[in-house]
Amino acid sequence: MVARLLVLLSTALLFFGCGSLQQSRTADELRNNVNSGAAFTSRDVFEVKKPYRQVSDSVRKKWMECLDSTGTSAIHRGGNSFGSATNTYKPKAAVTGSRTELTLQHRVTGTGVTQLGGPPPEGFFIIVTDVYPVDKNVSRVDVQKHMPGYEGVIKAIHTWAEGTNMGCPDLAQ
Amino acid sequence: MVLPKPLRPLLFAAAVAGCAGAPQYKSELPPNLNIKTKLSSPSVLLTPALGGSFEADMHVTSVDRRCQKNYRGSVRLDAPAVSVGIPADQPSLLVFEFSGYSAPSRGSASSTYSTLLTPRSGYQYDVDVVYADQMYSVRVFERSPRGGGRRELERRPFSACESKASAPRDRAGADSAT
Repeated sequence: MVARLLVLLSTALLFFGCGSLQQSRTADELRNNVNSGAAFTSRDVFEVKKPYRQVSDSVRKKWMECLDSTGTSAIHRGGNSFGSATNTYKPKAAVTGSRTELTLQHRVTGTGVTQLGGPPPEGFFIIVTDVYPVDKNVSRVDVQKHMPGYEGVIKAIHTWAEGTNMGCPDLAQ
Repeated sequence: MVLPKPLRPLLFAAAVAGCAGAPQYKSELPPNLNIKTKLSSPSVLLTPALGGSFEADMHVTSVDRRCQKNYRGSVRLDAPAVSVGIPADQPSLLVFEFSGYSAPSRGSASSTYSTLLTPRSGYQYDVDVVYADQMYSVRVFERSPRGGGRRELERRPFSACESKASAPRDRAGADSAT
């Protein structure tokens, strides 16, 4: 937990402190950043042998339930100096008959924390998941990420889509 | 005021535990919320053996008809089963917080899960809180006073209260948690 926090904070410093490493302000911008291989992006595409509506419903439900979260973190900066940050996550969903778009925005506030680069009011887009029908009984899930870490979320999306574990990932991990 | 040096880490540990000074939730009401908790620390660094901690709390906030929140106190979920009384027929926002503290790095982190619950008079509510393998689940069940088993309740975000208090919004198939 703490090691991850330090990695995240270090990465965040790189991210926020360097204009060339722009974070994503929209879902489409995130997709473009992933397509162009921008730093700290990754993509995971998989198929599930279940009808689109079923996969869409279960992943959307858990996305909205589990990722609507707030966390705090504190680090020891040395001596008697401590820093703290509040991480606020904002999940959203848009569903049509041919695609389910799930987005997750992340905002950081706290002492000495500045998100450079003009984040949107609800934070930068860090994960976008699209669910599509492949055929009547198969669905494709496309997870695109623009932030290091969050492997627990990726793992959870798999288990939600497959229906094997409906637990929530701890976003502080 | 200068705090004695030996006390500083202790104070910080208490502060980052998320509940430093947080008032304990107290209620004269008969218990209607029964919380069962199973926690498994996500890291060896967060275990007492290494001076760390990992714990869960439930923060109780009453919500009035105008959806104004009023924090009532917190319940430390440090026993396998805890029962408390919350007011029937009015919504309460229950926030479950999982927090860890690592002594070697003197760092901490926490995450939360929240749901609105409006208990019905005479009904009992069971909450199963499980944390394992860096994943958690919070499941709420309702039991009728007439028996007949229990049914699981869906999570209600706080925005469910806001949408009642304001004019209906056109969600157009879109969903957003607040």
